[in-house]
Amino acid sequence: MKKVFLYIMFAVVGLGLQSCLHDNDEVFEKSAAERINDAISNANQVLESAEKGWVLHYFVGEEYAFGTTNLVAIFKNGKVTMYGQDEYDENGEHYALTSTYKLTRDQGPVLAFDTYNDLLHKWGDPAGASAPTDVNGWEADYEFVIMNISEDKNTIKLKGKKFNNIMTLERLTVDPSEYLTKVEEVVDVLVGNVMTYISGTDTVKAVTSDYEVSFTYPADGESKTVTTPCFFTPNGITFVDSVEVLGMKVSGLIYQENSAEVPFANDPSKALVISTDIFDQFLSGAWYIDADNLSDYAKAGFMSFVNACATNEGEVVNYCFLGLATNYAGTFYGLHFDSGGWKGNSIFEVSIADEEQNLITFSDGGYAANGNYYATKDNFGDAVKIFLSTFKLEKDRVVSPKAFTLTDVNNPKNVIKLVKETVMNPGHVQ
Amino acid sequence: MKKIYIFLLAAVTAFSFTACSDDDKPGGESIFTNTTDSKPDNFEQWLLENFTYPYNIDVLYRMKDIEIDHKYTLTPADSAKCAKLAIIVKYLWFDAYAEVAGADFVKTNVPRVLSFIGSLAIENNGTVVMGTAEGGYKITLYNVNNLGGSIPLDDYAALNQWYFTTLHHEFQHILNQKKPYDTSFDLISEGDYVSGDWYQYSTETDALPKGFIRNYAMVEPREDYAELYSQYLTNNDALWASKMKYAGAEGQAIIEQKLQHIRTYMRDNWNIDLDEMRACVQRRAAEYMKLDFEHLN
Repeated sequence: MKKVFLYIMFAVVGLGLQSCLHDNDEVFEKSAAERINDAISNANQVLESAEKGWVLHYFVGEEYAFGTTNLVAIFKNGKVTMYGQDEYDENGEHYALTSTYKLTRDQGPVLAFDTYNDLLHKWGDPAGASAPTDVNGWEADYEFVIMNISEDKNTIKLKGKKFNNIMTLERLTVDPSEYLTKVEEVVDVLVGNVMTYISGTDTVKAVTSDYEVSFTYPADGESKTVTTPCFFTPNGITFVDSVEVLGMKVSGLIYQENSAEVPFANDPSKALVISTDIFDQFLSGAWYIDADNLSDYAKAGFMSFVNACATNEGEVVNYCFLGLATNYAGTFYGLHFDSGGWKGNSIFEVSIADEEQNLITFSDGGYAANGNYYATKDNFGDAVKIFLSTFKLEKDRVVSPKAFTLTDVNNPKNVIKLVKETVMNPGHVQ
Repeated sequence: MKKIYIFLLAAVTAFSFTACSDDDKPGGESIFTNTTDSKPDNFEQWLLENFTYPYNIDVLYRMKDIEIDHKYTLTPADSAKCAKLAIIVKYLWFDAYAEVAGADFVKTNVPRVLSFIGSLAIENNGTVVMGTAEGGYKITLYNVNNLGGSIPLDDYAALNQWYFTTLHHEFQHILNQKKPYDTSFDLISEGDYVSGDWYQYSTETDALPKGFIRNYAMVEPREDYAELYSQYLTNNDALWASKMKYAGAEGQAIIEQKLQHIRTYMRDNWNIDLDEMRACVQRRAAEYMKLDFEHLN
């Protein structure tokens, strides 16, 4: 009997100890709810502490697929005032738009821009202008999980809640307009260039678009290409992920004013050199048509397409450019358009006819995406035809040209000026 | 000796019960504090005075993660456009019901939350959702950012298409959830419902001649019920007559039979005369452009 009581007592004591076991496992001093409240409060203080605001190196497209831009955001009392790269008013000033923001708690502390601000949310509009997807717009986030605030409180790492891109908020020490103007200069000089770096017998070729940098270099007897998404700062280009090129780790490129040299961020003693080769410059860029930049002969061909789109489809040709374009069927060099949101391609075979005379030849390689439909129904072929010849290439400046003039050597009346800046509604349809 | 063991057992058991009690006391205040919410601005104050206090409605114009449907890619609404829409919604919808059915009816039956979303909600098949209702609790209106743009303020037909037919339609669902309609309604067009294929049918040539007021009404009986109710209230006489022309004698007879169901339902269950409600909505539709959209009065 005595033993039975002892067993019962041990059992009761054992159960009693177990019931309190969770109290001994506290890892944090505060509860989860208190810690997230503190994190939110701290984040808001840090955001509001930047008098000149923060620059958000913004990405759209899942896995950085569709582009980057810079937005400046100044936070105060639940309101955020934004400025955007290349966003000017009629007086040529960067304009500001104010909306609201909120710090909330769901996947940790979350920064949510919760009323519409055109500078940011236009990218997220599911039916946004020229959006590359049918229902997700540019796949753009406007709610961000705050991943980390740096110890010096000058950098905040964010993660887009829906499309998961990692982005950075960087504390500004200069006025928004000054910062954005410098970035625009960097983009203007570095984007669309071919750059080379020679190491012994190896040559690295780098091509910059407005959101990616590609390096092509020899490896194991073959040509290897690595591409990384990037964003632009007044100091140059920063890569989302560093890449390895000829055994070198490269995490960005440094911009030097009035210099054709572009040093590697990790080792500034080594530098890419911007090519001034006219064919490199021309073939690496996207060059936009404006009907006003065409000779009468060329304009007649292009407007035949524009007018047919308006008459037959009730569409405005939003843009038309010569260069590389990628769609579901692949990447093509050729003439590409967007008419009322429908995209189509013509494919050109390109050959350099005379290197010294700067002569280039385009020949017909067929159509892709909606190109065939618009060629059949809406005279796209007339716009393509003006390019199917041999042209003398001329550029407007030696480094980083903004425009090329193509003069048809077989028909001097066929003169086409193409520009680097995107031209919307090139047919000027009312 | 046996008693000593029992006392010992009792003591140990008592200690065991009290060991965990310290931290279990509920605190006096919520652990969640508002860290970035500032005091209401002019618009928020206006919403409080015009929606929350008189009608017990929360108007959500700032996007809230937990209140949106994550299957769509959406953007928040522009606050200035929300203010204009709120002014119109109050006049054409809330005040209209209050006028005919009384303020208590509105307080008791309208959804507790009205949510404004800036962008369209686009389905994967390309169709667009104009609004949604959730369990009598919330109505969401989309495409608010196009108010004043592709949806001009003075275009009553466009306002109806995007906002008011949705509001009346979704509200009818809520009323039906509270008091079910007579299911003999479901038998009137029993063989003609087409479920998810509705968008492949034309309103003019397919739906109306078969006694459906719009192609969307062909989805199922409860959608037919709500859509007919909303179109009847919001269409003016000329528009209604033009639709009846497309319907023809046969279609019109079916529509009238369905309307009679709705009249009876609204009168017997909610003490609302459907035609009095329609007259009120139409009168307000003729007047709403006199409202001041630039100031929050």
